[in-house]
Amino acid sequence: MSEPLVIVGNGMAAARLVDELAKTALGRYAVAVIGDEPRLAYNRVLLSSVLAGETGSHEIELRPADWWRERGVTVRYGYRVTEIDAGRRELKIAGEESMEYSKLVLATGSTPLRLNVPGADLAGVHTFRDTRDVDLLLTLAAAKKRVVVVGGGLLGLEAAYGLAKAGAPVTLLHLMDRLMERQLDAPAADLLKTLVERKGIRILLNASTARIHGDGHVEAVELADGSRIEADAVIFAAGIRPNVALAKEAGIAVNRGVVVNDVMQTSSSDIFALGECAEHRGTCYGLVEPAYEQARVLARHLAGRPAAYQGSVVSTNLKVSGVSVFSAGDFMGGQGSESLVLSDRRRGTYKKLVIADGRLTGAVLIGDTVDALWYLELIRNRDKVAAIRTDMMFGRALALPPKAA
Amino acid sequence: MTAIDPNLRTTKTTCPYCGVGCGVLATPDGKGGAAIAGDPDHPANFGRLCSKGSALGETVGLESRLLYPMIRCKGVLERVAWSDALDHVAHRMQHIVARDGADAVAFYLSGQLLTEDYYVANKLMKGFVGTANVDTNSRLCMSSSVAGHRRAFGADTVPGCYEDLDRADLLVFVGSNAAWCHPVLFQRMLKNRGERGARMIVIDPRRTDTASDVDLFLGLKPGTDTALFSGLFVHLADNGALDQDYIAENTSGFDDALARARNIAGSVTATALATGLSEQDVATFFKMFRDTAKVVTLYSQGVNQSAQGTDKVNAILNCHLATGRIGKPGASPFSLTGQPNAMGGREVGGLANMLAAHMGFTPPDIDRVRRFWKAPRIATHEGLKAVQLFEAINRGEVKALWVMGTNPAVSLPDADFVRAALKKLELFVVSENVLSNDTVEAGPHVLLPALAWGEKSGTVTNSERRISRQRAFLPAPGEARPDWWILSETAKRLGFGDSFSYKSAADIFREHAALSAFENDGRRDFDIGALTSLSDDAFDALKPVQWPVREGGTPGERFFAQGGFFTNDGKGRFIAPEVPVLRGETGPSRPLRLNTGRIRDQWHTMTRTGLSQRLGAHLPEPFVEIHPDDASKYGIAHDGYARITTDYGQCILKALVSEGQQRGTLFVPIHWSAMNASHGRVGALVQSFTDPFSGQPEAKATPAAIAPYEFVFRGFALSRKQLELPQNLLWTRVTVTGGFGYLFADNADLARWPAWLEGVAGEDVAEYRDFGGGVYRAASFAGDRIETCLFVGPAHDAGDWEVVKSLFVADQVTDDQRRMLLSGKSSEGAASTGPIVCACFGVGRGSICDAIAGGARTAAEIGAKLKAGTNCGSCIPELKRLIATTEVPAQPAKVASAAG
Repeated sequence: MSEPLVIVGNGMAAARLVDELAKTALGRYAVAVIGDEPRLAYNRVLLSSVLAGETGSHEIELRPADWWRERGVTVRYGYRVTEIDAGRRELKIAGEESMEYSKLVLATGSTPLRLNVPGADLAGVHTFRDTRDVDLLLTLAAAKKRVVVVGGGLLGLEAAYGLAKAGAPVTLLHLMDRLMERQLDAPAADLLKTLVERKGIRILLNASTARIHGDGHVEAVELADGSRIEADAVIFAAGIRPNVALAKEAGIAVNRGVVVNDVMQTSSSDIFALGECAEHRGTCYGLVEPAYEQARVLARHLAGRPAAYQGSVVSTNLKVSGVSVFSAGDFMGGQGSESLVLSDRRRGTYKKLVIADGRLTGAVLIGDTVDALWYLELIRNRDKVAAIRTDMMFGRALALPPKAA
Repeated sequence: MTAIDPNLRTTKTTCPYCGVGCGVLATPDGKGGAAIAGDPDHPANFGRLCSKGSALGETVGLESRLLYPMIRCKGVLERVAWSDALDHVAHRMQHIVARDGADAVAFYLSGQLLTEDYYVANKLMKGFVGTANVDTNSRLCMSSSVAGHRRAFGADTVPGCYEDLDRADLLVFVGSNAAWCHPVLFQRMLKNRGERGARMIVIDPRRTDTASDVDLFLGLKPGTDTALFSGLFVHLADNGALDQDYIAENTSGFDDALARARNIAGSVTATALATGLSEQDVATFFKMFRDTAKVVTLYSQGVNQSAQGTDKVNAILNCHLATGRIGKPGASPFSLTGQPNAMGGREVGGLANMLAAHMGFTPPDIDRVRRFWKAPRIATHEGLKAVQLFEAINRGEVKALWVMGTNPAVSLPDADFVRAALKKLELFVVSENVLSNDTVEAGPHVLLPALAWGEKSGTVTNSERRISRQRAFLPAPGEARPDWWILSETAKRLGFGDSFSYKSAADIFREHAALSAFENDGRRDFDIGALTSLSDDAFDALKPVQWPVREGGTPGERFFAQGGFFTNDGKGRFIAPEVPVLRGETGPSRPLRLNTGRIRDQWHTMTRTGLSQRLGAHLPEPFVEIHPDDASKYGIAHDGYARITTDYGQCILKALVSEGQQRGTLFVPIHWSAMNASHGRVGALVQSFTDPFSGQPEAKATPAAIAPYEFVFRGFALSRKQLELPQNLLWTRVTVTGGFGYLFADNADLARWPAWLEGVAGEDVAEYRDFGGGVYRAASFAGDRIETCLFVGPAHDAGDWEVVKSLFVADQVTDDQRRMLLSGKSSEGAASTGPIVCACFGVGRGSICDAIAGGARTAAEIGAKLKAGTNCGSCIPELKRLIATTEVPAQPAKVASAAG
């Protein structure tokens, strides 16, 4: 008789964990997935393309219903877990009877931060997190509403691009002096800004939101410098907060996220956590790649095999507002490192490779990301690159030509 | 303008480069350029052209041309009207002559001038201004041959003709790299060898391409030619190989000369000792010469450019006189002249030690010429020869100098001294066609725009005494005028109008011809009297004709086969040469001998050939050749840089380590100047010792030291316009398709390049920086076209400019090409074709090596595949070298060659 394993949250991490478990521990667990989003797990990364009208809402579904069924997984979406009773190994579910588990996995993800400024609660202030948000933003865009997006990170840029593409006049506010400061160095961010502005999006840097004006509904955004931007809607995309409430109330150790060890185990031995809600070695990851690596490790562990998560070399590799952007490792290039830079503004490309003690330790690519995965491989494998240093900037094809017969 | 431009007809003219004097068919393209082909009817080349000749069409552009008269006012050159410029020149000359005498004025002419220009210049100075201070860059070229001929024959007669090269059974090259310097003749001799089995011997301190595939190579010690030929003379005498009758009837001075020869090299052993050759090689040479009746000895700058050049010439002539092998079909001494009209200059007497028309400064000659010219102030004594002339300028004795069509600040020995001397002139006139060569930079007071090749019209004479027409096929640009017109106008202003009222080159030629025949009666070799009565039309239609062309004489007359020398007693003279010694001591501080010469694809100081991208591609940088043993001894690395120091100057050059270079000697090419290289003014290195008879300087044995010179960075730049490069940089400028190329080496901080580029490039710039790796590359664009391209990198790896050049050529680069441009590698992954070997068809070393790897085992097979070597053939020796050095896995080939 297989033991009940319950996953709270039906996002991308959950789906990947089920997939991995099916491969490594088929039949050992009776798996149930409970999530409060009213649909099957979907690819959150693609929400912006849905917003941009590049992808249909239903097309982003990760797995069809029968995929789950074939794996004997009970999927209960639209249900909210209200409490974990670690003692009795039981979950309380809003409007439902409790559910027992022998192993529990928290994949509760995160919530967009809402700035704590006057007016943040006005009607017309939204976030950009799930399909419901997308539907709402689409109606705004359709009505050509003037939108202010707060936050020049990945999420903000995605929202701004989607809205602009869908027809809304968009202004993007960013607190920092450059876009995506966690992924890009100054020249890269500057080039990205130019390319995004070419798409008709107005961008204000060093823009600190002071208050939101409006009588019941958003009318304008006021910045710390006193300037005022007329707006019909405001989207907060200035960071996320891991969803830790359940764990916290259950007495599980929590910092910013749910604290886990190298097998994704929380302070409560039968309870695990992964994805954006988990905090491993002090880091909460906001990207999908680490969640997938964590899922692989956790699945092996639950299958009783040796496994350990060492943390992820974070890399960003996607289209930001339709511009290819890649960033990995120590892309800023700290003490004792050397930087190789190739820039061609007219082609819209910027490439920076960081080398420390003969190894590639970081990279930023804008526009031309053809070799992104090769660079990432070099960074992860910590290979010596002296031999290919002169050519590596111009791509694997040139640096490592196929041996001619 | 009419639909069909009459100028677009094909014009028969003559190549302006070496003394072979090839016939050229030029067809203007109507856009200022011209299509060039060899003239199949011309007896010098029968349709062949060398790489330089083939590229003539690329060198007639007007970019670098001087188009208007200019006068220096308060330091700056300002455009003026012709009349003002000529008035100024005439007044200043008159003033200086009146104050300091006629000898304070001098002309320095060029083997590039047409005979008619030469004639007028010579007549004006020697007959009317009253000085023989008329010398020419031929002084640096073949004046030792002139002096040698005059001593032996009583006149400057070249007895041989090209036909002899077809009919000889033995061809002896002395100090001549004909394969590179007279390629078309050399191919003609190879044909003789192939068809008639003629054998070839090369005598040269360097194993040049001429020597790459010959029956015998004698790499003698520099300056010992006289010993070798003295030894030969003795050998001929002691082995019954003399033509006793010829000697008895037609010569004098035999005994003294032979006695002297015995002192210098009385035996094979003594000869070997004196020349550093093996006894066996010496004996072989002696035997081959002795046993071959039909032998032609060809000699060139290796003989002439020496402080004992005249003696070398006579040592050679002695052997031919002693065997009667002179002026006979297939048997003769033969001086190969370097310039298109050195011979024409000699014919009019445009040398300080000649008067006119092969007449010297003997009283009867002086009187004859005076009467013919109706000259008021005939020069009565020799003038100053080139080197002495510039020394006199430096001493302030000569105060006015007029330079025509040459580049003395580059080409004369101790060139820095010359450049300084020029600054002391009161009147410095330059008539030129290029605006900025080192001479023009040397601060002339007056610049006069002269017609260039393709625009001017007249005659030239080649190495075999053949007079050919240079004809205009392009319109005169700007206000440029023929040199003869400029001189005649000056003469009028000096008050000699009646004697210089020429209407055309034909007028002048007729007078020149008349003077050659004036009171001649066969007493003078140079006689073209039969051409005195040419009509203008006949002159225009004049076919190549070999002199003498005596009134009523038979064409194709040969000299000296039956004696008939032009000495007083009609006998040829044996001359006893001095014991050979090189001027200038080598020692611990100057352990090496510096040799100079030409390279295959460049001409003189590159003011013309430098305009051709094809010619620039073979050897783009000034270099020094050194033997591997010396290289290791002095720490010189192949393809590294080296500093060459003499007592006269310094150069920093690319080092080529070559087995062909003799131990203890260096070789540097003469072509580069301050215009196109920062540290390559080779003329500044060369000592100015001159030959006592010819005044020709010793240009091939200057004591020198060499040391490695390190550069941290190397790189190159390509640009549509000329660039002002940063200071303290070693650079060479090369013409490339679509613009200018610069190769450079640098020791300054890499960071100066981005700063420099900002000043040069526009908005649209792509950049690659790896300062840690010592690399900076950038390119600027206008639309899709590359405007400027800069590559800087560590010395060992500065990027491949061949690939970048191939992209620079295009008017637009694709996005993918732009993406890969700064990699310095071709996006197709196709390897670069490497440095150009065949300049005619632009075939690179890479392609050739591929063809060889692909099975081509002979130059012919390579030619069949790539066309390389099938035009001028001057790259064939290099092709053979590549075949020899390229690894070929195919076993059978090795077996075959072992068996064969």
